[in-house]
Amino acid sequence: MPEYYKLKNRKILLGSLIILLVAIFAILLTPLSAYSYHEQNLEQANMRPSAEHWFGTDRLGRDLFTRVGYGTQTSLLVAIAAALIELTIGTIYGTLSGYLGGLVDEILMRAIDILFSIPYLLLAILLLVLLPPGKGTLILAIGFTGWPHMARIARILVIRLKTQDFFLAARCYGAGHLRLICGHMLPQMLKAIFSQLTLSIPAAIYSEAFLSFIGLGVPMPQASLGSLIQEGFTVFPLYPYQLFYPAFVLSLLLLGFTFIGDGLQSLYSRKLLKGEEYFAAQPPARSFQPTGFISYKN
Amino acid sequence: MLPSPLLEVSNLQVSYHIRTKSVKALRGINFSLFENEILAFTGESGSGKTTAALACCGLLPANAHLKGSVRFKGVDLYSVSVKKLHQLRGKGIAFIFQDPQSALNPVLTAGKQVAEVLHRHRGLRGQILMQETRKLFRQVGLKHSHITSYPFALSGGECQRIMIAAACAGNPALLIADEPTSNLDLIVENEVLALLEKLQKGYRFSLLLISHDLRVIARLAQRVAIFNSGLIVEEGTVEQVFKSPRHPYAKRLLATVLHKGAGE
Ligand SMILES: Nc1ncnc2c1ncn2[C@@H]1O[C@H](COP(=O)(O)OP(=O)(O)O)[C@@H](O)[C@H]1O
Ligand SMILES: [Mg+2]
Repeated sequence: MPEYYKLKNRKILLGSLIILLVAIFAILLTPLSAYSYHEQNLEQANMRPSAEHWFGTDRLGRDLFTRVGYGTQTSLLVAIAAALIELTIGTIYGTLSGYLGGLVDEILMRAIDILFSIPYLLLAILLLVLLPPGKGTLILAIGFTGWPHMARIARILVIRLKTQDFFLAARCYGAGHLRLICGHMLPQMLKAIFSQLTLSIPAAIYSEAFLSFIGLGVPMPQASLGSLIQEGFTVFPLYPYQLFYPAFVLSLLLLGFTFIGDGLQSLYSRKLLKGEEYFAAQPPARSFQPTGFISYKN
Repeated sequence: MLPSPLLEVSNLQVSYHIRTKSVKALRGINFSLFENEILAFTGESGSGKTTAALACCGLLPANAHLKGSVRFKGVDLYSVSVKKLHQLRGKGIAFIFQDPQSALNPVLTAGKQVAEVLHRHRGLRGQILMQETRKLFRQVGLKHSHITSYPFALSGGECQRIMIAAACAGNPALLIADEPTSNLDLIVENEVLALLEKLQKGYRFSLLLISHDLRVIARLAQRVAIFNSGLIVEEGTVEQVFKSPRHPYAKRLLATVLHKGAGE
């Protein structure tokens, strides 16, 4: 295997390892803790990290180790669910648009342009204000504002596939629309869609953290990485460890997912495997950096 | 009286629209194809042969506009409902493309692609479907081990054989082959042509063969139509046209080939 691909594979491996470690921490270790995420103990408020409280306690005396673990669960759940929503809506919308073509395509794409022109953050905030606060609302707000990227990617893929000979051949032999889309197109789009998913997840994690940070996240006493960072931020000069732990886990998650996404992207955009030239000319997936950070975009 | 033709094209005009411009690809062509007959199209690149072939089965791209009529088995393809068109085309017409590798779905095995056509057209499933697939692979000269191969692992000639197998699986009345051998080397080309010839005799479909190679046409076809800038400038039996072309373009075309032959 050429040196270059080894490097890419190492990136994917490293990313997966980081995610795995964080997931073990959040999903396996946190439930074992002697404390619960909402149990207050004012006598033990703002304790520095110790043998009893590994990450210390917050201003209400809640165990930070438990809260960070619990918050990571929330963030991961919200991000993955939101990314799946983005993927589902985006794929269906983009596929239909590209497949039907003509006027329908034009209208659907202009609708997306309009959506793009409304600040992403504004839309999310609007949804968050209208719906009761909670995980479900966060998922909807992020999922329903993030799908246009996926739709554009799916549309381009479909348009490319639509003009290829094998597609004409399948049409010629009488394959129906459903068979053409599900049997002949989707399987070839899966890899691109999947590698886009690995970029959508960190973008959603970041969005969740940001929305929680500005106070639109899960209600108290629930926690997410964003709300923990916000709480830590208010006491940062006195107790920097309260900001450090959630921020560290958030960075690890973003780093891990971005490594995976990056590695996959390069794998697919360079013809690693013979016969996968198909993925060579695919549109560049949305890069996580500039557009994923809602705070930068608007 | 002649029998009524399988395919009858009259005054077919096709133009492609690209933004505000439009390009006339066909400027009114007429031809007919009878059952069990081989008709060849030849002419320079861009003269509209592929467009004519695609128009014959309703597979023109969305930016093409069409005038005139294409009758298949007496039914005008462009005045029936889309559903009926699907039926007619699926059952009656098969298409073989120039680039066999891109004409096969890269993520399905060769066997699956042939089996899919068998299943759709003859309703076969299970053990019988497997048997028929194997039989078709044998007929087109492929090994059974090719059934589970993916297109990228096969050579151009093998891919073209799979396309031919898929075409025959539907037992079509009309097979359209658009430069089926121009991406293949001479030996494989000969094999594929021999295969087409054999299958045409066996399945008794009509063949619309597009080719640049006049030797290929002389070997396979009964009649030939010469295209030039969107028109059929000469049409007749192969002997007639090759021995005594009347149109100046046809004369020039044949002269180039003869010239090359003499120089060799
Ligand atoms: N999809 C298309 N869009 C626009 N113009 C096209 C398209 N396909 C073919 N043409 C034009 O139509 C003319 C005929 O092309 P074609 O039928 O492919 O010729 P041939 O098969 O004889 O080489 C050419 O001038 C070509 O540029
Ligand atoms: Mg052509």
